Amino acid sequence: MNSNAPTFKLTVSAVGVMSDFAHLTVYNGFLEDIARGYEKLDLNLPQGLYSITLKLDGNIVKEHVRLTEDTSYDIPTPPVYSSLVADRFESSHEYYTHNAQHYSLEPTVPTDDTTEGGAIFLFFRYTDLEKRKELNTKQLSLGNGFSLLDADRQVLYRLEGNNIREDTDTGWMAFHAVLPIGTYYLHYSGYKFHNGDGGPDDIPPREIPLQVFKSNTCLPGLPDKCWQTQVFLTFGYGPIFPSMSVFIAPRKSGFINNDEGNYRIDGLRHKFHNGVYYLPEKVLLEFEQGQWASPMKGLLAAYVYFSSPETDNEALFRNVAQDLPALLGEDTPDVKALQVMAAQYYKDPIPALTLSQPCMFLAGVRAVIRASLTHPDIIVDDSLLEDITDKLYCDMVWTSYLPAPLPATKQQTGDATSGGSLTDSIFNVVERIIGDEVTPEEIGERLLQSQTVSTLLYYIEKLNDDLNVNDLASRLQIPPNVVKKTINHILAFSDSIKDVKSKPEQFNISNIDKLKSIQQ
Amino acid sequence: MSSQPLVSEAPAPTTTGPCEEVTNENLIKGLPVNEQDYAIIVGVSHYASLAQLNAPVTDACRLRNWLIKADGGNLHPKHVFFIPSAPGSIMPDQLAIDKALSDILELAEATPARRLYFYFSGHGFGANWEVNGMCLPIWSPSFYNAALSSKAYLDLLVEKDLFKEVYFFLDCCRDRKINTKPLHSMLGGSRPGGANTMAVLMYASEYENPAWEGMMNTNGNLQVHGYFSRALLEALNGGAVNNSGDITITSFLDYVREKTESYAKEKNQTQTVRSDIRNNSYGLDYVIHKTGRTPGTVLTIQFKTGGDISLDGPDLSNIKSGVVQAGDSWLIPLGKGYHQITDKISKKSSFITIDGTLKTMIYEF
Repeated sequence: MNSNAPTFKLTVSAVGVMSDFAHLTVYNGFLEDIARGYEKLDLNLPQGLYSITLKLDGNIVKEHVRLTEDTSYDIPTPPVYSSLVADRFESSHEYYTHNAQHYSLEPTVPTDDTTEGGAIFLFFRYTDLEKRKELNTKQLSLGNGFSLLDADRQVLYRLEGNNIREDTDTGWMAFHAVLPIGTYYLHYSGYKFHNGDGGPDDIPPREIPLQVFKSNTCLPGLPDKCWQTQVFLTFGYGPIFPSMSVFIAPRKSGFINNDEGNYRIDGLRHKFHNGVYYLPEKVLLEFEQGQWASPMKGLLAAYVYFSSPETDNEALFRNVAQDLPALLGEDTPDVKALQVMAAQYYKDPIPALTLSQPCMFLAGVRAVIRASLTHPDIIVDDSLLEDITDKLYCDMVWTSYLPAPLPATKQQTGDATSGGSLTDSIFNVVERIIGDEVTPEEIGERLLQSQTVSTLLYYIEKLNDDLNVNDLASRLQIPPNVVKKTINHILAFSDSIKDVKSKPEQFNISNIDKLKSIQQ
Repeated sequence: MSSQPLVSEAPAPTTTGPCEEVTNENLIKGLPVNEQDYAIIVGVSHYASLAQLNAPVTDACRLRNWLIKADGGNLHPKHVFFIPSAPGSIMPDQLAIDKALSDILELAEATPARRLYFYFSGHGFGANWEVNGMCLPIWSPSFYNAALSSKAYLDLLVEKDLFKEVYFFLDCCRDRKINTKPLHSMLGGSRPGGANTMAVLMYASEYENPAWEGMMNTNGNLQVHGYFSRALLEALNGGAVNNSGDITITSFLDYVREKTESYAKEKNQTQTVRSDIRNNSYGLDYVIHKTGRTPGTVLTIQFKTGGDISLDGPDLSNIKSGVVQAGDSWLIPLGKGYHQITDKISKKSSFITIDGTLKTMIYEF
């Protein structure tokens, strides 16, 4: 390259929806990567041939440029698909958007007008009418198998009948309940179906914690001091959980289909889902200016930041972590989990707090499990959180897990955070795993179908010494207390079948002896 | 190193197996070899209950051979632990891989080590965005255990702090599989933390996406390759060299990413390489391999119509101009880079990319 060659300005911009999250790379004529960044690049370059690559949401756009003068090059962002039925997404349609707006303002279940706190709004839909026709020929309700549970895992509402509004032709369902603040669970009982190849397939049961956040009195200018937690979910053959988008908006505003902030939240979530810890300048600027109009943006940004190895903006996020308890409630699981995560990030001591319920973000639950290796008491003994730590699904940014079966329906309670004993609703590991099996062989085989039990026994068999509870907990990514309880259950089962001749080989004397030595 | 003892002896690593014999000519000539470098190369084509793959063992062979060749990785053959699958066998299992790793760690503890290459090609799944399951031959829905955790293995290699550089290449799918716990290595021992180990990690695809294999033309021979593995080998064989004849971290990552994407696109598929770098105190221009060769291709341009043609190079310097007739052709040696050919009469213009991997190339204009 001739260093005396004249230089020109090359401005490359991603334009269109989600442009904040469009990643740009500029290569020079020798195929060398010379610049990269998000949304816009301003470069001074010698004349020559260049190429530009834009990547967004799995789409790749490539363009060539012959630079002989100052050039401004705009690359339209490719169409973006999302569960959020926002105006500028390719997958939003009037027949979905309109109904999402409407029912986010109108509860679908009877409500007490005096109820303080907040609300949960759920909106399920297909990508479009054509997909509904292709994938759900019987026009089954999208609420099938879903229930909303309270903090004690008691059924508040099943998503069926008069509790929901739906159009099974265009393929959408809305549910809206005004609820006291606290933790709720969206329970799905699973679904078996035939896939596109005609083969059997299934979507296993799953439960997702949803938080109704504390009413907020310290944010001026909002139309309502109560928050509405909004959940958008797309369906294929069944619910596509990783597509789930969650937003928190003022209850009286409901869902706003052209809210710029929602695009940014969805973009952040999508990057976070793929392990890209990117915070656009505009988001950082909002925090610097103390703009907390969107709690979800704050939570997401904090989780993204504390997951990242970067150390820019340390002071800013120390402030964010400090502000969260006052804004969202200090007892909120996500606020506690973020305090743990912040301590791990800053290498500060783990704060003296305990959690009994899962938070909404998987990264938070994982941070708490990591902390439990050195601080076992951080997870309350026999709590729901402890129970689910070895049943987590890790396929989306939201916490979800293989749930216990549903208890019977009860009337809506006045206070979801009454915090009644969770122990009653928790089965021990072995009792949960075992169904109708009666013989030791059947019970043993069934036990081994548990990921935790079988993987633990695999490690026990393969590793000779130096094994301890913390090592196993680290390998299994579960709290030490859950390892101990699982070992206790295996030993109890093993003891009950000690005189039986035929039993699964994993329950041999050598393994049992190793388990006993670990237990001591 | 005090690694945890393995319960049973794993079979000794296959030195050649299905691969052609290769030797490191420097060893024969008494010239230096990279004694401080090691490799574990795992290729699993054969599965007990999953679909058979065509590329992994072949691709693993090609990488193994590159590593051993004097003008390639220049490793001592005994430092390359090649672990292929075989028809009708459920090997390798975790023990076979951990045993190879254990042997390498012992050697690296005895003598300072520079570099470790870890390559896996076979079936895989994404447990989450940072944990990939590398499926062993016995893997099935009933044997969820039989998949190694990419993160746990990389963490182990980095945190041992025995190598200055670790290159971790995974040519396997990352489709989501929920509620899975891919296995950690059996090896224990101290883990100082990994502050001194640079790790370059490359996944063949983004989380939740498949990695593909397909029939490809390699120097006139039709062979099945993983798109990622083919790009990887081409990069190492010179495709990723810069104009100084060096392969840097940046040129390597860029090349593999670009070529994998373009191979997939040729087959109407999408595959985006994901890379991560840890502890890179050397900078992105760190040279990972010197070839001493300047990349280039002899290009034949065949003209379908006549015109007044101009061919410009990457910095717009004119390489050749002239009036041509339909059926004429130009034979021009070109360096690596973008070139632009323009017909001044019709104003028709095209970009030609020379990536340096082909000795000759034909382009119709």
